[in-house]
Amino acid sequence: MSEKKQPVAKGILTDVTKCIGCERCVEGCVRQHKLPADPPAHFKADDGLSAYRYTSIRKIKGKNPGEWRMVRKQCLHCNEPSCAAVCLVSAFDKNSDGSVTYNADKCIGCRYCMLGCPFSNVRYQYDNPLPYVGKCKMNEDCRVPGGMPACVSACPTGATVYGPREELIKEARRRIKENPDRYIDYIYGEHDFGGTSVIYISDVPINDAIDMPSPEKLDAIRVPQLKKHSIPHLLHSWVLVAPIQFFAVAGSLFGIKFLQRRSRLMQERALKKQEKENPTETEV
Amino acid sequence: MQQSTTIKVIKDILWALTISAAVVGVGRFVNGLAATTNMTDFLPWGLWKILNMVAGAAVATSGFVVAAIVYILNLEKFKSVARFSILIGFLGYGSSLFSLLFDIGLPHRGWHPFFMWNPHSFLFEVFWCVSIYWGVTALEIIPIVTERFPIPRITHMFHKYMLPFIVLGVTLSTMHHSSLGSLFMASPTRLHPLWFSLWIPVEFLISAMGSGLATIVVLMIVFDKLYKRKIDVAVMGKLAIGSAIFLTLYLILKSVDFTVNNKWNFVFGPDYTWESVVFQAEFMFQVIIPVIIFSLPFLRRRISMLALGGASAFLGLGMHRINTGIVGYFRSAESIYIPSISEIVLSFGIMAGTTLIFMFLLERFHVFEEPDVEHDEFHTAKVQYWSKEEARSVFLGARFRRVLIIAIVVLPLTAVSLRNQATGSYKPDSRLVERAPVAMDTMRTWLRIDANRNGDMVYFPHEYHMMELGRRDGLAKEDTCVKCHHLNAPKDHNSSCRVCHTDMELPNNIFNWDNHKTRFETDADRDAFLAMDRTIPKIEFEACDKCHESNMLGLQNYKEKGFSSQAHGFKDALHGLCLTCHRLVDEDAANPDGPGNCRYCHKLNPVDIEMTMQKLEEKVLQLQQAELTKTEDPSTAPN
Repeated sequence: MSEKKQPVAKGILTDVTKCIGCERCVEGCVRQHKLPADPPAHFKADDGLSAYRYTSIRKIKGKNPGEWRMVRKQCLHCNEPSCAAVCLVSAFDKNSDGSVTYNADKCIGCRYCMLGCPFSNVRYQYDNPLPYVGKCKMNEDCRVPGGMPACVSACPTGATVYGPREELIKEARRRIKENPDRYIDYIYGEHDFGGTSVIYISDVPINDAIDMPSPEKLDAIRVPQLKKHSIPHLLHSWVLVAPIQFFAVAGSLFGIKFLQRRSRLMQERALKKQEKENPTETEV
Repeated sequence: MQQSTTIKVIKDILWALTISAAVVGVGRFVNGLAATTNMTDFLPWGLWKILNMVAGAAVATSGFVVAAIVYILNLEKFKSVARFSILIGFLGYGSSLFSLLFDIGLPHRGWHPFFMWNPHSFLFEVFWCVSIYWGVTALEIIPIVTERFPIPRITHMFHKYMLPFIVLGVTLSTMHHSSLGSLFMASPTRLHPLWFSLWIPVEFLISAMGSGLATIVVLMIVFDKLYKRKIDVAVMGKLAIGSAIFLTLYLILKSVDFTVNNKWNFVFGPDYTWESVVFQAEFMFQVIIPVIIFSLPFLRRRISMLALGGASAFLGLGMHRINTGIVGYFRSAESIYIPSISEIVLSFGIMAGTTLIFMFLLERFHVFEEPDVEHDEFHTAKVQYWSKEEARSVFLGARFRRVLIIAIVVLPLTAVSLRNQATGSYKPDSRLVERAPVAMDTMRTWLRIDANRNGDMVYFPHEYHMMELGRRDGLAKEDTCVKCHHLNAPKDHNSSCRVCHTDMELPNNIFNWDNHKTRFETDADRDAFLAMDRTIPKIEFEACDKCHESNMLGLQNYKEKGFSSQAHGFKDALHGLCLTCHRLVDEDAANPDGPGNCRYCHKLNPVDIEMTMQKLEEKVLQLQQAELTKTEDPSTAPN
């Protein structure tokens, strides 16, 4: 069957209500990728992610006073990733298995991907004299025996699960439908920014925890298009401008030159004609 | 050539800056970006990229605008500024590209974009346009250099075939100026809406053209004054009018953008924040002041006013680029970026070096006016060739000795003053003295400390220690925990635990009394301390979360079922009770069903931990009963 040959776009569904914040996913990721110690440094953000930590747990207030919710933060693996669109050497790839991966051999270290990522999930090894980008991989490198990424496999409560994205969305819908009192009726990442492979369901708003602007925020900062579309989609038409601009400007400049030369020739020709007709007049 | 004292002093300052920048430049490659810059994960573009590249390119716009006016539109009266502005373009772009070598992480891969394409990227377009444009400007200024050497054929050839290069240069300029703006379109949610717009490319192009012309005005006036030349007010006025036209266009464009996208509330209206003030100041400098000065004829006629307007536009352009590239991101990053001294030194040092090259070319070549070589095949009468004497006086004269003296003074000064950044050795935690390896949890109430320095982190409830143990009646704050724990050095916020506690795992001998004795020169405290009742007040089971602070979902349901242990968090304590032995059996927990794996106990939803506990209790009961039946059963009992 042809379906088997083409890998299905996979993703991760994180159910915030199930997370107990044990950070086993972080531990699993660190062990799987043999990441070094993550010392305190002035260039890191306080959300726990860094070039040496691909996932982290963020703590937010729950529904009731004294209650807490843990949100797992990681690269969201957008369907149309900004990092891949803006990288000038195309070091980022959106793979058919849903992951967005980084190719360190191409990178020149311009850090445009970090500026372009709307969720600030791309981090940089500033302390390394030969620095690279660090980011969640979600590809074959992550797999432990059993076929699951190390972080998902390590989760003791099933709060974060891995599978085909379509099925995960169905599963998320089912959970929300079965427990409408427990969950907010919103799947984070289903349509936001063109859809992401990593999706969340929760009982409290988690926009701040995963740095994803809420639809109201998008309205407030006047980019409502991003509720449904990705950033590359927003900029798509501007990419075409460059070649048009090149030919238009160069053409018009040569055109001006051509017209100037033509008018000068016409003047000279008219002068010669005048000379032939009445040679005395030109001498005056 | 006799030079005034002003020029000499200016050159000395520029040399000092350039030499210290060279020190920083070497330090950046040895120590990395973390040591020399203050860029962070949320604010990844700093001064070197925004000020030197984006703002620098904008200031150097003049090159292409004047080239278009003079060589395409054939307006002869601007010919006096043509070479000046093309040279500014060449040097401006050269210094921008040079500073990028320090900014990008892996500069030895700078050639990658030529071979690894991503035409969708705006930075790709900028890279190609800027590097080709720089090459084109280099071709454009070659005649300026070669005409002072006895190779008239080459000079003449470049003059003859200049037109295609000029056209290519102007075209590439318009392209990369607009795509320099498009760079920031990639972050619509992170850039403040005052500066973000889907029209940024057009705004960047028009503002660069307007302010670029104004920059030419102010630079011409400055250098004319420096070299005591007559200032051509008529040409300056014409350039100023052009600048005013472009800046007015920019004003209209920005107003239309704000109206169409309904953004006026960020400037005046309900969403008035500090960004609004910054934007108003920037707009005042960039547009309002120059347009008023340049459009009023009685102001335009005065040189001081022209210089003021040009300087204002120059400053405003820099502000606009820095606000778009750095300041506009502060709100979404929830942090600010202040460049480090190393960044400032390198940034301005590169500009200083560029200015030195510029002044050298101004003095030694025909930049201010073009010798009429078009109609003079062998222009020997107009231009004097370089002589050996001149070369010797330039490169080995008194000037050279003076620069050597400056270098001898500046080099050690820079090395000492930047020893924590560019010239010292960098460790990630070297910014505080003797800092213990401490990491913080997400809420910063807990510290993860590696007290034994063996790689094992333990949780330390810092806030609890401050709140409960750090407070004693009748004691000043300095006499509590701080007396022992935070005492090493002036900047030391958390001395290593190891200073006092030699071994955290031995509760009876955790305090290093020898160190205490050497530090306070007395042993009297020891007996008093040992005599003191140090036992923790008896904690009842209901209040376990008093010690084991809540960091678990729905803790209030399990207050009655807690366990007592002093040092760990609730979660760690609970897990420690079971997991310590479980992990002895199943060390790396690789088997998903093994006893070391979390799933072994946490099979259920965490909301139903109560059920897990019940099940455990049932299991314990079962085991006890099995034990009982075993002992009661006489048949299996040994005789």
